[in-house]
Parts: sequence; C-alpha cells; structure tokens
Amino acid sequence: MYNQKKMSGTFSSPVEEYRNVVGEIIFVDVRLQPSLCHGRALEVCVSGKHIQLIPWLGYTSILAVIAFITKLHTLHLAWLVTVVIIQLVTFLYRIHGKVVSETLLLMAGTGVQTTATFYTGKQRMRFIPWKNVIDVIIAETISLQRVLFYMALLVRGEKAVQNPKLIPLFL
Amino acid sequence: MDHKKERSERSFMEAKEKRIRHVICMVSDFFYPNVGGVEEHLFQLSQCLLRRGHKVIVVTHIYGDRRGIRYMTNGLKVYYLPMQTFYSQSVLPTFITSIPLLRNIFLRERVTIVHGHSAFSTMAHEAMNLARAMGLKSVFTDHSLFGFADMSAIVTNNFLALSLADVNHCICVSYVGKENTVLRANVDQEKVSVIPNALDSHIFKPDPSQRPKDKINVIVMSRLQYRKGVDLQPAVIRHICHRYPQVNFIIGGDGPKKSILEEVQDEVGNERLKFLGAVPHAEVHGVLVKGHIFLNTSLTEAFCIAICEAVCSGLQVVSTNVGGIPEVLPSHLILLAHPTVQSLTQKLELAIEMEINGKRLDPWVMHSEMKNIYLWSDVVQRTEVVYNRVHQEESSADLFQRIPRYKKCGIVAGWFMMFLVTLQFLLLKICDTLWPAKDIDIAPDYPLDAAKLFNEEHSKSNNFHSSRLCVGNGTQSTTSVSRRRYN
Repeated sequence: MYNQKKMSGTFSSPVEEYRNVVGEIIFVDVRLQPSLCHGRALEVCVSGKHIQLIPWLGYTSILAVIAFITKLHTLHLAWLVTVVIIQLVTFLYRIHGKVVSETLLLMAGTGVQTTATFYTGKQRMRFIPWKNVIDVIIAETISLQRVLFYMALLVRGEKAVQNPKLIPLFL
Repeated sequence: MDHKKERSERSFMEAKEKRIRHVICMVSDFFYPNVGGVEEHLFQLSQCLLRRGHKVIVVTHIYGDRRGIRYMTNGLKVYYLPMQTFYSQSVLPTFITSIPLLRNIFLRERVTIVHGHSAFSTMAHEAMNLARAMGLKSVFTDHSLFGFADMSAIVTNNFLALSLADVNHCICVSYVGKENTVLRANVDQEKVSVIPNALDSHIFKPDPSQRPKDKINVIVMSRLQYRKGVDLQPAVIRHICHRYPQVNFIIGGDGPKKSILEEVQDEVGNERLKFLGAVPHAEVHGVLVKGHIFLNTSLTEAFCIAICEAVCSGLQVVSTNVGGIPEVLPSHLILLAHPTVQSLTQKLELAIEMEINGKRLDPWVMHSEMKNIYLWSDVVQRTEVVYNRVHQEESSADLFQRIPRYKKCGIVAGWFMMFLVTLQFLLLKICDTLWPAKDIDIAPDYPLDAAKLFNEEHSKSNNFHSSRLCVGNGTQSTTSVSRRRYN
C-alpha cells in the first residue's frame, strides 16, 4: 500500500524517497513538471522497492533440501500434494495483485490518466475526461486498526444526476 | 508541611498566569446524532473550548450510516469508530480489541488529555484506561446518580470503582452528585470537582404573547420512562383536570411509558391533554413559551437543566426535590414537592392559584435573575482550571506506578485489574513493534489562530508554552514537561 508518505529523503535528487505507512521505502518521481510545460501537464510516478526474487528462491531451495533429507516425501502423498498446492496458491495470490508502480498523468483540458503496473508486467489504465473531474481531495479513513490519509479524485458520474464518486489514487 | 503548601500555592498561581494549549479528546458512546443531555453537554463544551483556542476531537461509535471522520461546526473533528454496540448504545467493553485503533488516534492527533463522559458509556472507560496506559492524562465527568441497594447498582458501582481508580480527576454536575460518586466509587474527594451544567440564555427568553390568556398550560417535557416519574403523573393530571377546568396539559417527549398517559388522555379528552411526541432540542423553547407552569416529576436527577430552561423562559416550576434539584435554583423560583402524588398535587395547585391571582413573579424578572447563573463561559473556565491542574500531575506509564493504584479495589477485582493492566502494557509494546509511532502521520490541526490567541495574552513574558510535545506512547518515557521543578 503506497498510502502515505513520510519524509526521509532529501530534495536534491529528482527521485524523492519516502516511507509508506508500513515503513517501507517508496520512490516518488516527478517526470513532467508543470513549470516546464507552461502549466499544462504533470506526471507523477510512485513506485516501490525493486522486488527481489533471489532470496525467495534461496529460501525455497533450502526448505526443499531439508524436506528431502527428512524424507518428507515418503509421508502420506495426499498431504504432501495439498501442502504444495497451498504454497503455490499463496504464491500466486501474492504475485497477482502486486502493484509495482503507479503513474498519474494530468493534462489540463484533456483529462487525467492513471496507469498501474503489476508485477506480472500487466498494466491497467484508466482515463477520466477533464470535464468530469471536480476536485482532488485528501480524506481520512479508518481501516484495519489504523486511520489513514488517502488522496482521491472527486468525479462526476456519467449520468448527470448521480452523486460524485471518489476515485482513490495511488492505492 | 508549610513549605509544601507554599510551593503548591505558588505553582498554582504560576499556572494561572500561563495559558497552556491542551489537546483534548472527548470520548463517549453518546453523541450526535443521538440527542440527550450528555450529547448536548459534550457538544457545547467542545465548542466553548475550541473558542478558547484548545484543540478538541470527539470519539464515538458508528451511528447507522454515520461512520468515519466528520467535521462539525468550528472544526470539531468527530471520529465514528467501528465498534459494536451491545446494549442501549454502549459498546462491548473488551479492553483488548480497541487498543490499536485508539492508540493510533491518540498518537496521530497528539492528544494530551482524554475526557470521558457518562458512567454508562463503556467506550469512555476503555479510552480513559488506555490513555493512562500510554502516559496521557484522563478526566471523567459523571452526569447521573446511582442507587446503592439493588443488584445492578452494586455491580455497576464496582465497575465504576475499578475504572475510576486510575483517573486523574473527576467532575460531577452537583454537590449531591459529588457525594454520590465519592461514596459509590470510592474516589478521593480531592480528586472530584463540581462544575454544573449550563444553558444558553439567549435562546431561552420569555414570550408572554404566546400563552393563552384564558387557559393555563402546564408543560411536562421529559423522556417517558420510569426514572422520570411518569407513574406519578396520571393521578396528578386527573385530579387537576377535574378541579380546574381551565388548566390544560402539554406533554413533550416519548418513551416506553407513554401508554399510561394515553389512558389518561382517553378519559379527559384531547384538548386537555396534548402529546407532542419527541421534541428536538431546537424546538424546546417554542414549546416552553406556550406554557405558564413547568412540571418535573423525576425520581432521580443529578442536575436538571430542563427546570433552568423553564425558569429562563419565564415559567413557574413545580418539581420533586430529589437528587441535585434543590441545589439548582433559589427557593423563590421553584416549588419543591416530595415525590408523591399528594405533595405534587398540592404544590401544583399552589402554582395554579398564584397564576390565577396574578401573584406570580413576572417572567422577565425571572429571566433576568436566571440568565447569569449558569453560563457556558463559566463552565469552560472551571474546566480549564481542572485541565491545567491535571496537566501538572505526574503521569508515567510505568507499570510499577500504575499497579499499586488498584490495590484499594479489593482482592478479586483489584487483582483482575492488575492483570488487565499488565496485558494492556504488553499489547502496547506489541503495537509499538508492529506499528511504530514514527510511521504514524500526524493529523494537521484544523486551522485556527490558536497561536495568536495564546500569544496575544502573554506576548511579553516567556511563559508561552505548548503542550503538544508531551505525548508518550506508553513505552517511551514522557518528556520532562510533566516534571517541571518549581523553585
């Protein structure tokens, strides 16, 4: 969750380092400054630490060797199969929704585009036309024993009567 | 002994000169959108404290659709927390499950004082206990009286004694309330202050033009439940309606005992006994000015603000003399009766005779006498004195200091509380490891010119002091603010 930032880096580098609510380091990269484009555009990219596969592979192989030595595979076959399946399922679950980075591109007059890049390489884009955007707000919410700040886009619905929706950014 | 007294007097005077900005967290199960005495008191007190420059937040539980964080007038931030209520709008008091969330709130708002309201509110007790575990100060306001005799009272009193064993200060709304609290909860009497309720005298003004000239209206305004003495009312109403054909009754409020009064209405007729249903507080004045006499039949009451509102609006008051009611009004403004039908009828007849003869006090005279007695500015000043005094007290989250305070609670309850307190301490340590305080974002204060309010009073002296920095999270030592040395 890239929810909230706490300053721990310096402003000298173009990529700023912050900590998120869990305490991990995240990087905020401002790629297009409004000052450079006559105040017409802004692009901000928020990304987490590079996910390292090597330690995970290392631990898995060590555990596999231990299991082999203690002859775990001679135990009841069904149990072994279920354990392996559970491990695979949790692995897939953790990989599937893992967002590596998010980008927000604002173009005055045209609209707002958010891109979320997942670990598997997939990208999900969402575009909101400029006339639908009402405001950007920072709200507080109570979630899982914590009170968090989150930034959201106040958006008009497609039908004129609908209440404005909130679209959270950078989740 | 003399040195100590001198030193404490001097420190009190010093404290009077410094104005400290507190961050106060009002906790209660009862808040808007629920309406009632405690809720009104909470809201008014918070508004007045905000006006004085302190920071106030309110913590309560979810009411229907209302959840999360809302802002009310003047930037009063209200947290509606997802805690399950289990009986009459009070949450289930598990001391364990609420720790992470409440701790998070106290840390992000940099709370220094936790002020709990109403003995029935379990959330208030939990929050005050946790505040002490974290090294913050806690204050409790008691709005009601309790008995001593029946089983439920004994159990409630024991729980209250456990909770109040570790509270910095206690506020009661009347001297009778103070006696009651000191006796039943075994609290030191120096730890209890009496600060009455207040009312807004600008709203409650008399308006004789609204009253009918030929009829006399008697108004009853209360929740229709047992402890408000609804059982006494039917006999009184029947007698008076029979004897005085020009007297009508208007009853505002709703509750479980309404059926008793509906029976009376069937007998005397619709014009003589009118029901208004539940009256929202904003419309109470409109109803009061229509009457000549106000009748209060409560069987137990710590401080009845309704009779003050009635006197302010120029009505004669007939009331039972239970609880704190005799302390509230001077004797020429109220007719006190015993809580029996004969006594009430007698006093009510006296009031009606005075109306008929015209010998009663002029409503504007009553208003001018009443309007300066109970003021919110007074209440707030006195509450600030309590906060300042509490602020200077030693408060450490050390277990060695907390546990002995529970020794006086008895063998079973005392040991249980000591166990609970140790468990709280461990849980706080776990919370600090999992969710360290440095990762919690500080919530920005609602923009008030608070610094200006405090600076302009003491611009020259260097006594300006902000108490924002002295929040500990229970495991780190609190800063030296609370251990000032007075030379």
